[in-house]
Amino acid sequence: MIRAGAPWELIRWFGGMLIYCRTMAVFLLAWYLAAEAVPNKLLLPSPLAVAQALRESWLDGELTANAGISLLRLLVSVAAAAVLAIPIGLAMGRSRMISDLLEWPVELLRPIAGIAWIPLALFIFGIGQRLPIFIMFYTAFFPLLLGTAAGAQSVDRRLIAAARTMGLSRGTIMRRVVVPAALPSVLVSLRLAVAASWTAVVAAELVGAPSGLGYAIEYYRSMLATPTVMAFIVVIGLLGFLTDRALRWLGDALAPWARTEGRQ
Amino acid sequence: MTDAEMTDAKMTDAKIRLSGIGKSFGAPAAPVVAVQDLSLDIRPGEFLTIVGPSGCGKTTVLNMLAGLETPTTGTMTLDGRPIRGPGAERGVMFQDYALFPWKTVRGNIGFGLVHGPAGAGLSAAEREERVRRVIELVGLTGSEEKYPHQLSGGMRQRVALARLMANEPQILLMDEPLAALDAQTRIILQDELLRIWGQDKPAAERRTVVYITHSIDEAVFLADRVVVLSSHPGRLKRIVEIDLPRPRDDATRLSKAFADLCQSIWQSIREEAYRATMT
Repeated sequence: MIRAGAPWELIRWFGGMLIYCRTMAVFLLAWYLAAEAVPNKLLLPSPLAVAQALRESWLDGELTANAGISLLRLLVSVAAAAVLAIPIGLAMGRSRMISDLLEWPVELLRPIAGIAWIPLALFIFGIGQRLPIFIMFYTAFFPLLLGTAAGAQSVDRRLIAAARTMGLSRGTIMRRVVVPAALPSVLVSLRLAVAASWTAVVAAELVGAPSGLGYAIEYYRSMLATPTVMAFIVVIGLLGFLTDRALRWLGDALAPWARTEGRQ
Repeated sequence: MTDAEMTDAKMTDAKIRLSGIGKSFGAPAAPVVAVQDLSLDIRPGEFLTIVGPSGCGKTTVLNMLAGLETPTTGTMTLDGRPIRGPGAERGVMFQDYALFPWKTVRGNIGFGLVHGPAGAGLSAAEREERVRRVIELVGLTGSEEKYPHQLSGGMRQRVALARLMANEPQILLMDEPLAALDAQTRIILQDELLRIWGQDKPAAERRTVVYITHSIDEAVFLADRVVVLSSHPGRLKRIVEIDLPRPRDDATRLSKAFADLCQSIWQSIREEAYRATMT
């Protein structure tokens, strides 16, 4: 019998890492072979060249500076979207009237990709911080709004009934029952919003900002430095992965009951 | 409600009065009648149990008393005033417990004390003490920090019971509160319930209890009166006065009078119960 315990946990973790490394190795090998097969190095740089470029931009600080500015923009825009979307979403989820009122504008605006606003936003905001922040805000807003509304709407009616029989006021029920009950959905939609914002960051910075990961990609493209372009793409993937991990951890910390419930 | 009716309710000294209560669900064209023409006076300090076959509208009656559902016809008064919605003086224990999944056992039990009017005027220490006491009473000591999803059905039921008791409402509305428990625990908690209700105290100091159960012997053991409902639609079939002496204990459970009362109530619902089971 294998007993659960620290050594066993360690072995399992190590095993998981091994599988992960193997998958990565296969992927890198395939990439390497493909790069060797393509005669023009400009079209597909080899992983070694990308690693080299990654190292260089890390050493001269360019990578950290651009990644930092993109990450900061992302945090600002998602935070702004959350501050606005979560209260409106809660109101939509709990009030038929508000939901009816907002349904049309939301459903009309939601299918429009954030980047579709770039030309117009260029006129309004010009090139700078505000344009990418606006685009990312727009992209993060709708998943958060609809996720929160769905979460608030599907709160177990019996829980609200129980709180009412304990004499809680409407406001207290909203804060003490609806909000915690909707929290797991809000946290999931936050992850979706962040993931969507990462996809928007490049497009927004490609055109509208003099800094950031998207700007760096565009800059090195014009220099025909494809290994560096790839290096920044890798960084975006990595940051997206890390922010999602961080949000998952945050979700588990804020809603421990939902974690065990969902994965049993 | 007219003034005359108001005085009338006060004169007969009913804690809760139901007059001609009916409840239908569904489209007005083809309503499903859950409860029909139910009139009943619930006396202050009374332990009233309701039994009946499934489909007799027991839970609907309880929800209406709780103020969570509005009767289609008739009037309901509490201390002579119409019942218009839920209130903290009427505590409810729901059949499916309705525990807050994000709260631990302790958080669930203290919920009403912390966030509702039940805890008004109590210091934090007094609240904690009361929560600790009911946790001990229902036998949940050691599970205080667990979440509902980590508990068995029987333990969840105890949490729901403890949550109701912690709030100390004047009126306790209970929907099959002991149904998920094993036989021994059930007997212990029946005794405990009678103690909390105040069977050792003078009648004036007792709380009013409306208690739904499908177990006839439980209904007889606990009650001052047993209300028997018939099904489809739910209607008042019979009210049985239980004049077994109090305090009741194991000797009561073994007495001939107890057995006779159970038998008599069984006779009045057996036909319907068989029909419900066989078809």
